[in-house]
Order: sequence, then C-alpha cells, then structure tokens
Amino acid sequence: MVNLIIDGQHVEAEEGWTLLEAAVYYGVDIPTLCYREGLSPYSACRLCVVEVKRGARSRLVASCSCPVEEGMRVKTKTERVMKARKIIIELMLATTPNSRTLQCLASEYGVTKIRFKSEDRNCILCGLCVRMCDEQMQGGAISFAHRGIEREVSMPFHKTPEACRECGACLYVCPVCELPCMGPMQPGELCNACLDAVRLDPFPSGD
Amino acid sequence: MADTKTESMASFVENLVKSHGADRSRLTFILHEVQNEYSYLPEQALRDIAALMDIPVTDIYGIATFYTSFSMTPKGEHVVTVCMGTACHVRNSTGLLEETCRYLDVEPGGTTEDMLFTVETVNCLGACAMGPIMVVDGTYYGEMNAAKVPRVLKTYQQGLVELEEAPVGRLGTIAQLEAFREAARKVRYPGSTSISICSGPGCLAVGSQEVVGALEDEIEKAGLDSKVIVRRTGCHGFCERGPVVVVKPENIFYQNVSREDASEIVSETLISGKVVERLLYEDPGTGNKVVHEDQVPFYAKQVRQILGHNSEIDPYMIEDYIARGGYAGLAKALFAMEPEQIIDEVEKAGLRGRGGGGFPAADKWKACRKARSVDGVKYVLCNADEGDPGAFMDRCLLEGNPHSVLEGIVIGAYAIGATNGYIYVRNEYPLAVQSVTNAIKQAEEIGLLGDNILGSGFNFHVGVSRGGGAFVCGESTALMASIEGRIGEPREKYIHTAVRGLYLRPTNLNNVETWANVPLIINDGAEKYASIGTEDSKGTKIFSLVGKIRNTGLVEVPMGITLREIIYDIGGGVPKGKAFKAVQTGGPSGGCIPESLIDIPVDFDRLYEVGSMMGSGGMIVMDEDTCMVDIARYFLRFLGDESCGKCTPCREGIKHMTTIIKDITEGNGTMEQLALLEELAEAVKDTSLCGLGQTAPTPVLSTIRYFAEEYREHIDEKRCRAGVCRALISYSIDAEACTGCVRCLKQCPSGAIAGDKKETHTIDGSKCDKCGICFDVCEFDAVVRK
Repeated sequence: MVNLIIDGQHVEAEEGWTLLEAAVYYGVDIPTLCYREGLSPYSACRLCVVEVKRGARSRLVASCSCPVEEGMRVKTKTERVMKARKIIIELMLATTPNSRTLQCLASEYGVTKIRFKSEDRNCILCGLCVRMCDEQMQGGAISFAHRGIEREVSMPFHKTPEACRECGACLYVCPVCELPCMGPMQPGELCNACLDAVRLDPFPSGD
Repeated sequence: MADTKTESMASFVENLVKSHGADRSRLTFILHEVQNEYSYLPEQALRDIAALMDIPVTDIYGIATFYTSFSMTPKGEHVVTVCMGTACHVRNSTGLLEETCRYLDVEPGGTTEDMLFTVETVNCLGACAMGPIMVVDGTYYGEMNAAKVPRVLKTYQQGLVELEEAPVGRLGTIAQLEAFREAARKVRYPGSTSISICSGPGCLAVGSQEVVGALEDEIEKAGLDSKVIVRRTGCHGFCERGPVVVVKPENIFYQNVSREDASEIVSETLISGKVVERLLYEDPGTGNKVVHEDQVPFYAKQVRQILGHNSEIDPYMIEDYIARGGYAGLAKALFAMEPEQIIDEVEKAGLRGRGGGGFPAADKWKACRKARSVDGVKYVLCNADEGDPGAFMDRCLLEGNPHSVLEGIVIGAYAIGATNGYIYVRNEYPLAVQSVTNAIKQAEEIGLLGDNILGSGFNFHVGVSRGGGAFVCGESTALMASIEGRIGEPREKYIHTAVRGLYLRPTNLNNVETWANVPLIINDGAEKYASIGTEDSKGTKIFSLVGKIRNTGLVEVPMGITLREIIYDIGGGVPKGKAFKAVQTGGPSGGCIPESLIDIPVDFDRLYEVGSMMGSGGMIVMDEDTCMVDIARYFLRFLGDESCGKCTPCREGIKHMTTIIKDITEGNGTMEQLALLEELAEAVKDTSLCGLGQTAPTPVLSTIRYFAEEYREHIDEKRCRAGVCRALISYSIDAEACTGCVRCLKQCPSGAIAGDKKETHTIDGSKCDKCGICFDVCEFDAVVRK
C-alpha cells in the first residue's frame, strides 16, 4: 500500500492507482472530461489537474494519469487548481457553447463570462469516442486527424470505413452530443442557472 | 489507362513494403517514398499500405494528416519553399512569401493551376545565416528578398552531393583500429597541401557546390590531383563570408570565394605558394588583411573543441575521422573502463543536456542503466529533431562530423547497457539523413557498430528514423511515438522514459551536441573537460548567431562568456549602424533578453533567471527595426502551427493568445486584453501537458516583461516604433529626395505609385498594401515609413 495525503487526509492507496482513482475511492470530487473508467487515461482536457507538493516545489498534475507515490501531498481545491479549471472551462465553452456538461461545470466553478472570441465547433477533442471505438468496441473506425487547431476526430478520408459497425458507442460517451443545454444557444453565452445553488464541500482544502 | 496506373501503384507500394519490411517503425519512410513518387499520398496507396502492413487505415490517415511533410493532394512539378524561421522572419521572410505567392498567383500551401509550382512554408530550414531563404526543389537561394523572386523562379538548377563509399574489413581489436588509424593518416593527411571547402548549409546557399567543382577541375588541369587532397567538409561556422575555403596545413583562409577564383587559388597558392590577397578577410576594426583562420576575430574568442574538426575532415570518409583520433574514446571506454566508471566520468565532467533543458546527462544514464527491461532490450536515442527556428548546430554536426555523434552514442549505449539505438532526424534535413546513414554503414562495415564491437563482445545496433515535419516530435515522448510509426503526440511522463520509453523499454534520449561531447570527456578526462565553463555549466556551447548581426554563423564558446562578447567581439555587432534591441535565445520556448542584460554570462541557470533559456542554441539578434510585439506574434503563430492539438490549454490557449496579439498589432488592442493575455499565458504555462505548451507563453511573457512600453504604444498610441506592424504604418515619398528614377514605381506590385520619369513620385495610400518593396529598392532614401 502507498501512503499519501489528499486534502489533508492521510489515506492509503493501492500501488499502481492513479491520483484520481485514489480520490474517487475516498469520495473526493475531481471533475473530468476526457477520463472514463474502462478507457485508458489520456491526460488531454486538463480539467482534473490537482496540486502536488514535492519538497518545496509544487506543480499541477493531471490526476487521471499521475500514479500515487509514497508520501505525496495532494491538494485538489487550491486557488491555483480552481483558477486553472476555470480558464479551461472557459476555453472549452468558447468552442463548444451548447454542451450541457460544460454549461453545468461553468455554473459549478463560477465561470460567468467568456472573454475569448467564440465559435461553435461542437467538439472538445477529448478523444473518448476514439478510445471507446478502439479499446472497448475493437472497432478502430475513427481517429484524430490533422493537428493543432485543425485537429478533428475523423473517419479515414471522411468515408465510413468497413470497421464501423454503427454501434453508437462513440455517441454514448460523447460529452457534447448529449441532449444540448436548453439555456443559451448562441456562442459565448452562458446559462449559469445553477450558479447560486448551494453546494456542500465535504473535503474543504487544507493540510 | 487508369487501370494500369492503379496497378503500377499497387505494385510500387507492394515492393516498397517488401523492401522496408512491414514493421511499423518503417511507416514514415514508406510514406516519404510514396510522397516522393506521386508528390502526394493517394488514398488508394494508403489503403494498400494499411492492408500490407496490417495497420488500421484510421491510424495511417491520422499520421498522414498530422505531419506537414505529407500532402493529401497532388503537388506541382516544382516545390518552392519559403523559410519562416525566426532569423528569416526578422529579415522579412513574410514579404518574400507574399511576393512569391503574388508572382505565381497562388496561396501559401497551394499549387498553381498549371501544376508547375507548389508554394510551401517551412518553420526553419537551418540555413539561418543566409536568411531569408527560399528553396526550389532542394536548391537553396540565400539572402533573398521580394525583388529577387522573379529572377530566381525563372532560372534554377538542381544537384545533390554524390556519395563515395569506402569498403574495408572489420576491425576486431584495438591494435587493428590503431593500424587502421595509422594507414588512414598516411593516405589522408600525408602532410602535403590539402584544401577544405565548406559545404555547410550557409555556404551551399551561396554556391560552394560550384566552387568545389571548379577547384577540382583546376587541380586536375594543373596535374595536382594526386598531390592535393580536396575535402568537401561540413560547416566551418563563418557563414557570413561563405563560400569559405581553407588551404592546409598553413590554414590560409579565403572568404567569399566564387568559381572564378578557383584557377587563381590553384596557380597562386597551390603551385607558387603565394597568398591571393583579394580573397583574404579584412578586419573591419584595423583594416588589415588576415591570412590565417585563427587570426580572424570571429574565431579568436571561440573554443572550438566540438566544431573545430569540421574543417579538417570529409564527413563521408570514416578514414578522416579515425585519422584525427576518432573512436579512440570508444576503444578506451570498451577496454579500459567499466560502464559505471563512464557514467561517473560524465557526472564529474558536469555534462548537461544541450537540447535545451540542461538536465544532467549522468542522472539520466544512471536511471536508465538501473531500470529493468522485460527482455533485456534498452534503447539510446539521439534527438536530431532540431526544430527551433534559427538553430542549426545539430544539422552542422551531423552533416559535418557524424562519427563524433555516433561515437558518443556507442559509448553511452555501453555505459547504459543498451542494445539498440535510433537517430531521429527531422525531415527538413535530408543531407543530415544522408550523412548519418552513410556514417552508420561505414562504422558497421569496419566493426565499430553492430555485433562484437572491436572484438569486445559488446553488441549495439543503431538505425536512422526520419521525422515528418512536426516540431513537437523534439519532445521525448512524441519523438518515441514517431519512431514507433505513430502520431507524434506527447504523453504524460509521470513514469520517466528512462524506465518506460520506446516500445515500453528503458530509453535514454540525448541531443546531438550532447552526444558529440561524450568522446571528448572520455578521451581527455572529466577534469580537463570541466576546466572550461562556470560552476554549474561546463564545457562549451555551440550557438547559431543569426538575425541582425554582422558576422552570422555558428560559434562555439566556453560557458560563462557574456552575451556581449558573443554579439560584439565575435559577431561584430549590429550592421548598418542600427541600434541593438534584444537577443532571443531558446527558440520558441525561450525569451528575448534586452540590452540592459547582455552582460550576463551564458549559463543554463542565468539565462533561465532572466526569463529565457539556453535552448538548443539559437541566438537571434534583433535591432531597432524589429518589433517585439510582432516577435511574440511570430512565435505564437509558429507554436500554433506546431502544437499537436492534444491538450486544451496548448491548443485553445495558443489560438486565443494569437487572436489577442493580432488585435494588438492591428491597432485594435485594449489594456484589458493585454491583462487577459497575461492571465491566459500563465494558465497555459501551468496546465499544459508537455514542454511545448508549458513553454509556449515564454516569448509573450518575456516581451511583456522587458518591452511593456512597446505593447502600450501599440495599444494606446496605435504606433509601431519599429515600423513592422502594417496596420500601424504608412509609406510616403519625400519630394526633396526623390529623383524620379521610376524604380519603385516599376517594382510596386499593387500599382500604388504614380509619377513620370524625373518627376517626383507619389504613393496612393488607398492602393498601397504596405509590402515595403519601394522602401527596400529606393537608393535615395526617398521612401519614408512612418
């Protein structure tokens, strides 16, 4: 067993667990988008970042892929973490305004304004569909193509390959093509309906 | 017709896969060959490759669209490439690209209707000293400008270096190596005259190829071909004065040599033993002619322990390298040292990674040696994906002295206990691929690589892997993915690559220059090596000194030298009487250092403290005509092109930073936006997945830190003091100075200039697209930029 401290609590974790797995086990809430149980961690959305202190230095790590280590001191809700999550949510909403998941996250994290130029691309490139198709359905029908801001999830040559069985697993895991948020329909607008809802934080930050 | 085409393509692809083998690590090579054959990647070819190699077609499609070297649509007969590296950028490659596109009537990346030309951009060709650079079908055109475009595109030539091979038997003992060395010395360095002609990227761009041909002809004509050894060498460093020719053993240094000078060099120097005065370097300080290479001020303050051999050896002859003492370090390591001792020696020498991060090499080696491998396979890799625009030292080492790198790798492999290795070379360096492939072949042939090296029982195999045009592949995990034939996408390194790297085996990765330092440490010992440098940075560092500097070229300096010494004593300062403004180090991950800080010593830690970094060694000098906001915008554009797009902060963050800074350079910025830019930059730095994203905001943050005033001027006063940001400047003609020579009028591509011969010209602001050609061509300083 590995001993570590999460938000001031001394906890034990199994060797080989990720920080996220340990946190979930002890009921500590960490938001995720590109992570899903049963699929390999991808570390791309960066929403699950937490602050890890080693010696005098601390840094942000992606909890979905960072393995637990003996003596680690982890904080999941510091100001630095919250600031990072807020700007990531804001960046994602600037490209995917009608994702219900993202709109709800905006309310939860108090993101009330999108300061970036908005567009509607309807995909956050979390890659859940790609990994679902490949790892769980053994399909390999879709992949990432191009790079940088041109990056997209695509079928080869934009044609449906034989490998696609039209099983719909890709749609099932997509955090964007769920039932859209009924609030704002214009890019750049925020719903914020649940902004003032009372939330209880069972693990307030602190050593 | 179509059927035979499809059939021939099918058999072409089949043969290709057969010759390379179906291993996935050969995929990029195969795709490069298909691209060469058809000028693009036809869909059917990709489907055939997928079937033959048993790789999902989705993966191949992903790879084909990820790397910029591959195209999914056919290209023209001639490919015109304009370099957008930093050194070229500060010398206005943007204007060059615009004019090229206008002349050919095509968009960047597009192909002309007649399928004759495709215009492409590249994020640095490593020929920075001669920038701006344009390449047509592999032929370099240095010091280009918009006005020269039509001339070049009308006439161009072709030609690549033909290789010679040298087959010999295998060396099974140290004694045999020494005997080989002695024999090579007698044949290649008999003490009589030899002549070295630099064929580095800078000299190639100004015609050193022709000089070699002319000299060889003249020497043959004079009947000296059996007496004088002609060496086509790698880069000597002094690119500014290329083509460079050195006559040895006297070390007579001739500069700016052209083919017409060949006969005089042969008749005067080689035959009569006299110096050709007019080809000598003139010291701009004293006005004296300098005869010998080491007296040229450019070389005087350098310590060329790595680069110095470049002018002495023919990189395609292993005999030359061995005759100059090569592979003695390997012999010593294999027979006189234990692996741990080698690592100790490297640790004592204080060798830090030259690729940018400055991580202690010995720590990496130790971790990799200690790591367990399931089947005993461990890898050592050489990172030759020199992507930093403005840096070309790795290119010059691989092209000019590949065996020094190779020797370092084999020593490292022995110390670590590695069995296999790869040298990963970026695709923009075809000559480096050629040179290093040849070097591996030669070393294998004589038993310095492969099984039972020098009879020691140590086996080590090394291959070359070729990139596909992706800067991010310089990042260790992306590089490994690329070698495996996958998309070059980084992954988290919570488990170090020393433990789980290439093919999930323990892997050690070092940069070209780091490897080239290793034989030196083993040969001379750690103590001597560590006598050069500062407390925490030992040895020398090679920089490519480019941009607005008089003596452009490659310089090797001892750690601890000040930036001022490099820029003024070696570099000769800023030309044309302009004022120095900043020096940029560390490539796109580095920052701009202002004049107030140029007395700091060159040292990994000091450069980091002032908000920049050592990086791989690009040093781009900027003068008063360089706009710092534009520089930040330039690097953001570069990083936007090169981001793999995997993680949110890097992909989206760079995009929005670019938008904000673009607004500022176009006069639409606000102070609130500037604050948002800083906030976003900090977030991208803090949350990105890999080093590319984490350092992407550095150019922005460092220019804001030192040049806040320039940002404020762009925002508040809508003014660009350097006259670079087009939306904020205008051109007019000074009636007093204008002679009515019609030169600007003829050259203006938008027809904005009016006036008759010998009459004062005027510029119509509504038509002017501010390309600046008039400003560049006017000989009377009559065009005013405000």
